[in-house]
Amino acid sequence: MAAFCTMKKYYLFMILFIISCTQKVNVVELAEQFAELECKAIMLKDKRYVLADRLREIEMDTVTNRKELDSLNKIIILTKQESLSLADSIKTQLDDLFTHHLKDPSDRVAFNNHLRKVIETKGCMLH
Amino acid sequence: MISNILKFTYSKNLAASIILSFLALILFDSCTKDSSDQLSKTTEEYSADFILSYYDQICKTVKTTQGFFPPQAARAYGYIGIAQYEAVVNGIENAKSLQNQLNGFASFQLPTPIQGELYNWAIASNAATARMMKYMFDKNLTPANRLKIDSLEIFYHNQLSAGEEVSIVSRSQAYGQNIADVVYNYSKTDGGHESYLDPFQLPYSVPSDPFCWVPTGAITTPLSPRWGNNRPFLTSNIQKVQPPQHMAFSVATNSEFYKEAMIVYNTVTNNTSEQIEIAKYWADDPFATCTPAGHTFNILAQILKEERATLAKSSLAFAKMSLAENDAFISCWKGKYDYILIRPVSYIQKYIDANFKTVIGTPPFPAYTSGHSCEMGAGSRILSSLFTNGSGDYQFTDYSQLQYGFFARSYSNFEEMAQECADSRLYGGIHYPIDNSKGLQVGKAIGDNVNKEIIWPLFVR
Repeated sequence: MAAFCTMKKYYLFMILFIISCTQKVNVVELAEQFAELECKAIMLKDKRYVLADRLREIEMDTVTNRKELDSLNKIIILTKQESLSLADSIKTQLDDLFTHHLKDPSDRVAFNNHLRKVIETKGCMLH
Repeated sequence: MISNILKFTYSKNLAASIILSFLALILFDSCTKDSSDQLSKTTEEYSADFILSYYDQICKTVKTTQGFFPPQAARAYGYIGIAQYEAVVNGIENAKSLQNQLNGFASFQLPTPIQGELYNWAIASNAATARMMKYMFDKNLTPANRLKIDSLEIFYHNQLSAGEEVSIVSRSQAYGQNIADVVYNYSKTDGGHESYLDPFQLPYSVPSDPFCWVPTGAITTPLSPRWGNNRPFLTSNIQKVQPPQHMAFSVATNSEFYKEAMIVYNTVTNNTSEQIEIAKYWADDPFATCTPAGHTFNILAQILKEERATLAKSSLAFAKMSLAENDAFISCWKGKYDYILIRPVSYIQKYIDANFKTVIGTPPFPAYTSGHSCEMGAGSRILSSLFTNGSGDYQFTDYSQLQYGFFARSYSNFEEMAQECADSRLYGGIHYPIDNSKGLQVGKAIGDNVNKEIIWPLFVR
């Protein structure tokens, strides 16, 4: 009986060991969670470029309305602040993902590929 | 009888001498052990985690500190890199201080470790890096950033001091701080001291020749016109690697100049969405990102993390990159203001198509050569020396731009990455092809100089 129990423990240990070794990182789930933040970052990036284009147009315009320029500059400052704060959050989350979940480079590449798919589905890109 | 006595005495002496020799051996061995126990741990025995955290913080500080345009940022990275390397150099086998190897550094007396005393090189590096960061951003450092640097310093100081003798902790910390003080004094004499207070170096008048730079936006004077006069870390990075004269300015449609402008015009007009993405990916605008140099340091930090590099390898890597990036900007800026070349947007709007628009904003300084190409050319050579046998072949994915809303991009060679960075300036419509090709050439030569002219330790893990 004792020998049977020892054997059972041994098999249980082996099964758990094999499961833990073969358990794949769920890159799909991680990418889907991360996509929320990345989507915001993409939209903010696109917004920054739209604002920069508008700013250039206004700057080159000789009859620029001073008020419009001032209000545009205010929006640009706010957008930059929002972008910087979001960049910090993304960096922190990404470091955490890479340190604890995506340790293997191939998992990171798979994560990145899936992230692209999720974001394309979400439709948060301008082009 | 006598012979028996002699034999006995001889064998007794032999036995005694064997015993004595044995005791001497034990004693010698124990003495040797004692003295080896008295050696400081080598830099290779420390983790690089803390230094990588500082490089994250440098990037954040560059983004949020007034006056840190690309040249100013590269300089800050430059001197911080030297301080952190000098703080650990004595713990790296066969490593040599930069003191007698860098331009003008020999006249500043760096502290040397006290003979026979133990040091914790990680504590020294922590102290040197934190202090140097505060020095380099000094007057424009926001209270929030100062607090973050202080918090990092205290956190890592406590972590690295755990289980360490108090005398070693205080000695190592003081040593690191003294290193930072000396490197800061050295930095004050390079011509770029506190340049963040006046990055446009006014007054400056742009010549009015038709080939000369004209404003491309609201900023009417170009950035840092005297940056090229700064002292480089290696004189050869200025004297030996200046770009050749660009093609003669002309508005004739069959001229080389016109053809270069037409390449820009046609590229921008026919850009693919991939090329537009690449143009924006590498743009690294100041105050939204940590500038091109910061991007290169982010790539380096990511690879060091992936390679699980020790403190020794990381410090060496950051030092090499620091020299290359600082000098790349000085050298590039010298060329920019030697030639003061008109930007493509100004030429095209005047002579080809008045409605021409670039993909990204044209930075406020002359075209020839491209700063991005210079700095990434230099960076690619440093990365190749650190992680390849010189071929540059290395499979990696740059995740550093995810934070700014870009997908990660993958490369199989550092030169390939540098070429894409250079090409991005053409796709963006802000550089002629020659700005990029000659910029890359200059940058690579600078990277090679840094690799070859400095005596770096070999085989560092």
